[in-house]
Formats: sequence, structure tokens, C-alpha cells
Amino acid sequence: MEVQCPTCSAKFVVPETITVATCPYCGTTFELESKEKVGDHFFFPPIGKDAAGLLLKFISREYGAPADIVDARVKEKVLHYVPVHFFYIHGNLQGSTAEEVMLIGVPAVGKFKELLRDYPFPVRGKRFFDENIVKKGKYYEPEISKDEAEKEAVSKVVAAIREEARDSGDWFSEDRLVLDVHYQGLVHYPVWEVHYEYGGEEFYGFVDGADGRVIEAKYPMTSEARKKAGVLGGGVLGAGIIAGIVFAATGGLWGFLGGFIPGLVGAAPILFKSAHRIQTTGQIRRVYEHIHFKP
Amino acid sequence: MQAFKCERCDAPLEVSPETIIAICPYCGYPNHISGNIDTEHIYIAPSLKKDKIHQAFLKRVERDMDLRRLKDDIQVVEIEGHYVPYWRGRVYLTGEVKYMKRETECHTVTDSEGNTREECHTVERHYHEFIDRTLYLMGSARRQVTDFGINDIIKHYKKNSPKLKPLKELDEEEWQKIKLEILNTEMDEKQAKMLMKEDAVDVVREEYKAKSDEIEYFRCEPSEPEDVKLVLLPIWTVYYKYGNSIFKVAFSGWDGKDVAATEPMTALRRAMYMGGIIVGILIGGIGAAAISSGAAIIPLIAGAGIAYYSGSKVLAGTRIER
Repeated sequence: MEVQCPTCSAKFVVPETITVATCPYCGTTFELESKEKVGDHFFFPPIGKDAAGLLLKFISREYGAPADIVDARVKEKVLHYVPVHFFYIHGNLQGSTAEEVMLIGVPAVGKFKELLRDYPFPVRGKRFFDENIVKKGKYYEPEISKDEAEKEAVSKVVAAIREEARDSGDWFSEDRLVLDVHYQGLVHYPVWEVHYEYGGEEFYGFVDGADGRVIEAKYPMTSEARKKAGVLGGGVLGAGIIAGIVFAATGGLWGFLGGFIPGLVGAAPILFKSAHRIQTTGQIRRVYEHIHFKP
Repeated sequence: MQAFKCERCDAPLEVSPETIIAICPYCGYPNHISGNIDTEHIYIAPSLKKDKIHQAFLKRVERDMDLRRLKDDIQVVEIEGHYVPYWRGRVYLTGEVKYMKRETECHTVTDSEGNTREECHTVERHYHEFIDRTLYLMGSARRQVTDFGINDIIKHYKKNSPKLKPLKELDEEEWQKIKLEILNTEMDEKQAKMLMKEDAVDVVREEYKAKSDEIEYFRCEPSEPEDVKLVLLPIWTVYYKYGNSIFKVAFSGWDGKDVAATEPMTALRRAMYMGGIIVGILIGGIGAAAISSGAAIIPLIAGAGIAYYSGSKVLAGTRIER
């Protein structure tokens, strides 16, 4: 019989007996009857840039990083292909305005679970899985099955619906919950792990292999920068105390607190920096955008 | 796997499940691979040329107080442009909301000796309103909303909308002129419409949440999104080198406006953030001392907020300007 691909509209002939077909033109795998796409396997091709160079360059821009860190010796560079299950979930609470639509990626290897938590995965530029990548990097079979990952993804949606229900003056109950879950497939996502040596010590960082952004990196802060930050933070705190005393003359305790608390709060991030020799940094913002379409 | 072929020159095209338009790598012809969107509903804002964007960047350097000082050490490394797809549409909402708000009520009391004083207490007021409004919504058709400049361009689009052209009406010559890569759409029309409806309700709910202390009842019915279009907007990114590092500025491609930028952190900027902490201390101190009662918490929190924001920026590596 002749079928039409739901993605590219191409028509092609398949045997009568099958229920699932893969389009020979664009590669979409779909169910014949419902035209729903099923369980494709993709990967992201890594960008052709030097991950260690990107990492060190990014670090060199951070406050207090040693100026010569770009010349640090790179000890090890590994390209991990991390499997991620993707789900498209639509959930709502019957009789309520609580409703959520989310596309969620669940990393399927324990080692990267924390690193890629709430990670803003791109979907662009993915390709159909190619066995050759297994040879080019460290390839992981998913440790977490599709079903377990689905549970995790669903719990995120349910939590969001619960909150929306509360904000609507409704109560949440499982039996009114309607979930529509679509599995979007497994994606092997490239992540570079870079180890470098500076001043006889080893540090590491992770770089997104698909777009070159630094996910997380450790670096040493120079003692000079730490001292500077310490003096600066102390100065801010001192200014707060002095202002507090001055304002206390007219405003009593409230006047003191009004000067002291902003001083303390302003000094805190500066002093925090100065107190840690090894700093952690990164370029990825992990805020989950609750509202995608804005007025 | 067999490849798609260019309608014009028969060259193989690279097509993935998200592709809407595949630009032929050989002849530059835009092929519509529109399995899940009607080509009728795709619009494009034609872009300025690369040299215009370069000029806009040079103007920005002249104008910007930080960059002007560094002018001689700035070097443009790369200028690249893309068309980024956005979904836009209109949702009509009707509904009903009941909410509670705590308000402070004050009245003047005169005691037996004829002295007057102000007496304040908090009351819980209940409101009942009807929702009847139309929202014009827009959002990236790609998932990675945190991408540099992607959301900033929406804000600019709302203020300075470009003239949109139906993609179908763009002739070949025009294509050759603006030959920019079109980034793939990761959200089809069906998904976009569903999200729009859901988000429209969330937008309204968030508004009431912000202005009330508790929502007691909330019902809101969104219409099917109307006038749904896929709009392709040109975004240019200029990468420039200063010292050892690369920074970038994003421009809207239809009018060359800078919408977002990363900049080196100059000593002057750090000093300004230090000044911000001092401002915070002064607002907190002066405000709290002047009020000197429970309400003093307001300037105190405001001052602390400013101080914390400034304090966390003082030692930042780069600065993002929007």
C-alpha cells in the first residue's frame, strides 16, 4: 500500500503487513495508522572546534583567573556521547485551567545526570543516528530505560500542573489528571570532558559538544585577586556599618539596619568569591522558562 | 537513505525531520519541505546586507561608553547571519477570576482629649473580575530560548516591526541577495498552537498572581489561536576580539539595531557596580531611618536588592547588555 510521511509528505510503498515504517526520504519513523512518530534514534554532530581551547578561553575571561591559563597543559580530552530520552508531554487537570506542555530531555546515564539537570538541550541540527560516532567518542548505552525516564519527565509536568492548580484556587487530584505523552526518541548528545593542569594542579571542565558552550568549569583564582576581593568586600561591609551608625542617629535601630543590611548583602557575593580558591563557572542558564509564548 | 533533491538544480539536500525550508547548498534555492506547516503561512523579513551590519557595529562602538575607550584594540573577527523562525498568533480569552488582596487601611482617630492620630490595619479585600481580552503572542519556534539575542529580538520586533513578505512571493533574485541560512523550526504548527493556548492562560494567571495575595477562583478559556504565522526574522551576530577574548553583539537584521551584547568588564564598569552598592546602602539607610517603623522594611529590601545585584556583578567576567 502507499503511505504518506507525516513529516515530509513524501509518498512511498510499504508491505501491507507492517504497522511501523521509516520514510526513505527524510528518515522519520512513524506508526502507519496514527501517523505518530515513534522512537527515533538521533545524535548531534559535534562542532569542529577545539573544546579545550574554548574552555580555557572562557576561563581566562573570569575574574581572578590567572592570565596565562590559556596556555595551561591539556592532560585529557574525552568526547562523551550521552544518551538522552526526549518526551513531549501535554498534561491538564480536568475542570481546571491547569495545563502544561513540555518537551523534556532526561539524561539516561547516571554520571551525567547532575551535570545535565534541566539542561536547555537544543533540538536543531540533530541527525539520524550513525554508527560511526561510536568509534569517535565514548559511547554510552542508556542505563535508564525509556519507561523510567518517562516517569521522571511526567513527574516534572505533574509538579507544574499541581502548582498551576494551586494558583487557580483549585485542588489537585490524580483522577482528574489527563496526560498525553509522546516519546520523541533517543538522542546521543556530545559532551566534552577536559582535564587541564595549571601550577602543578589538575582541574576539569565540561563543554557542550554541539555548540561549544562551557557547561561547568573549575579554575584556580590567583591569591592576588582573592586578596583584592577580600579587601573590597570588607570595604563594602565597613561602609554598610558606618552608614548604619550614621543613620542610627536619626532613625534608631531601623536606620542602622537600613544601612547595615544592604552593605552586608552587597558584600556577600564579593566575600564569597574571595573565600574560595577554586572557582566554579559556566555559561549555561538553567532557568526553566515557564511561559514560552509571551505577549 | 535517499536524499531530497533541489527543485531547481536537482542537487541533494540535507533534510531532517524538523526541516521546513532547505536551502540548496549549490544554487541557493529555498525548497519548501513543508510537511507540517502550510507554506502560505510563512513570512519573512528581508535582511540588510552584511556591510550594513558591519557599519551598525562600528556605530555602536562609537556610541557605547565602554567600547569607545577600547576602540583601537577592538577587532571584528566574524559577522554571521541567520533567519530565525518565530511563531506568532492571536488568542482570545474569556473567563472569571476571584482573588483576595491584603490592603492597608488608615483612618484618623480623635481621642477624648481631642488629639488626632492615624490608625492603620490590614484588611483582606475580595475582588471578582471578568476576563475578556485578546493577547498577541510570539515565541521562538526553536527550543533553545536562551540562545543569544533570540528573545531580545522579539522585544525589538514588537516595537519596530519590519515589513513582512510572504515567503512564496520572494523571487529568486531576492533570495540570492539575502542568501542567509534559515535555522530549522523545532516546533510545528500544531505544537505551537497548543503551547500558545496554554501560555495565554498562564500569562493571565501570572498577572493576577502578581497583583493579588491569593487567587480563590480562576477560570479562563482560550480560543483557538488565530492568524498563526511562522515569521522568519534575520539576526546577525558580530564577533569581536578584545585582548585575549571574543565578545559578540546581536543585531536585528531588518533595521540593524543592536539588541544584545557581551562586553569586556572595564575598570570603570566595576567602579559603577561598586557605586550601585553604595546607592543600595543609601536607599536602605535613608529610607528606613525616615520611616522608622514596620514599613521601613520596604526601602530596606529595595536597598538590599540593589546592593546584592551590584555586588554580584562587581567581579563578573563579562557583562551582558540588552
